[in-house]
Amino acid sequence: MASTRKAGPTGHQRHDGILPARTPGTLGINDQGDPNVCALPGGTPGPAGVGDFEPPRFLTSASTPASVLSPADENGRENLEGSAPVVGIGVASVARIRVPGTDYFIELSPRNFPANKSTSALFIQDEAGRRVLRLDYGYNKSSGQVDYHWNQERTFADFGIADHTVAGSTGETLFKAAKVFKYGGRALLILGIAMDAYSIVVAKKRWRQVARVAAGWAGATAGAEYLGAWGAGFGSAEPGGGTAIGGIVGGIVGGFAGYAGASWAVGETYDWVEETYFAPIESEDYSE
Amino acid sequence: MDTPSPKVMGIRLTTNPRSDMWQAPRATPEFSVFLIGWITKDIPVEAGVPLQAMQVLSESLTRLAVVTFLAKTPTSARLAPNQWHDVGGGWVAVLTRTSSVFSRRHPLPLIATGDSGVAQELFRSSSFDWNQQAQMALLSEPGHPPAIDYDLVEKCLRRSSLTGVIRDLHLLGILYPAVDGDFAALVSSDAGFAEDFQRELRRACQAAQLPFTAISEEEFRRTQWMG
Repeated sequence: MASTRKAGPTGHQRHDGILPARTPGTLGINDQGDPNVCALPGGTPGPAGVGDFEPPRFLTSASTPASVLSPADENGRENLEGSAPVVGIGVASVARIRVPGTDYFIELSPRNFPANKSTSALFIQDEAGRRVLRLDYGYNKSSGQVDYHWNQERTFADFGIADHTVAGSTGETLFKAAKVFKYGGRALLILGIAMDAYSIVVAKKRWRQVARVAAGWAGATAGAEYLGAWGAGFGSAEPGGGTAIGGIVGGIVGGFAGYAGASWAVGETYDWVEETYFAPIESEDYSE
Repeated sequence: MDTPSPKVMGIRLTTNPRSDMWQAPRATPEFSVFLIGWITKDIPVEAGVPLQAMQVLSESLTRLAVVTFLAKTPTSARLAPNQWHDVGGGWVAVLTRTSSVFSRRHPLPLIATGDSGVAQELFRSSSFDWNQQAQMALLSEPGHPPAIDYDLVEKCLRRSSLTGVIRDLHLLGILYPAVDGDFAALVSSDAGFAEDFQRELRRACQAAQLPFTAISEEEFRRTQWMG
């Protein structure tokens, strides 16, 4: 039969001055019920076999570890670690990542209407969509085959990739990854919105949570764009494919880090402001 | 800086192609499809329709029809929407529709012309890029611009319900960019117009000293188009 107590003889465990849960004499004096001493836990609550034999938790009067708070108490300290990768990737999938030193953006949709007709998955293009390098799949007039290839208009001077250049296996991988990233990222974006909305609804400190979520989204956007641009610049050692890979990877990392960092910073700031009290200064009488 | 247009060595046409790889509308009992391609001497660095191909296509079309295509003009923003305005031998219009929460409706600026030089702009418009298949040319009876309606023109652009759209807009045909804008696809429900277009294209090619051949889809597929 399961027990919440360790097997073996009693009275032989040394706990360096920590009293057992139960001691002879009056309950509440020198045992677990005495608030002035540290004592071992007795039988753990809940089903036997779950969380048994855990070391004692030393509680101080001013802080309650999150791990021993009930779910309702925890609302005030709602963590957003779960949202960070979801929102980070989602935001990166719709971010406009600039290629440093140029007016090109790395995007997953064309700028020409209608957007849904394009057979391309990845676009490096200017604001107007007039100059564009895109990774396409379809019949290639140059090779006479259906393949993965680059199409370009007015970008040759910047990337050195001619129209209809076959993209090979790297291009194929990049094309497929970009497709998954585009649609998967949008799905994660919706999931992230739902997760964050739920976290606000159940939060005990609702305004704290609103501030953290808002900061997280702003941080994710800024992070995706900033680190994405850095990645694009780094990846441009291999113009075209390298630019896109660098930009997207940088965007994802930046989105994740931006969300996590900004929401953490705002949470800490909120707590600091909330826990700071200003005592009124006694006024001195200068009338004399 | 734009690179010079590659030299065209010939024009080829096939009727009612079946393969999806051309990204052209599929022929039905209601309409036929001509797929037109151009052979270039060199492998072009830049995407785009070569100048000679633009010329023969636009000449053939404007000899038979008014060509209406999507392009912004400097006056587009100031025009009263959803009606044609005369401008120096041609017409311009901007079709608009109220956007809803769930669908954004882009304005559709149109130019209608019987001038082959103006019609070449359909291959060059950067807002509605031929190479990314965001362009089309509505072909209608000469002398006046076609009836226009936002929903019908949008359907045309999205290539949906073509038979109904051609009938409702009283069109002779529609020219679409096929895969990568490297080919042009002419859709027509009027057998007489299709015949006339092929004759005019042959004539324009002869005038430009370009060989013109009408071939099967298999020969079309095996054609070496570049270099």
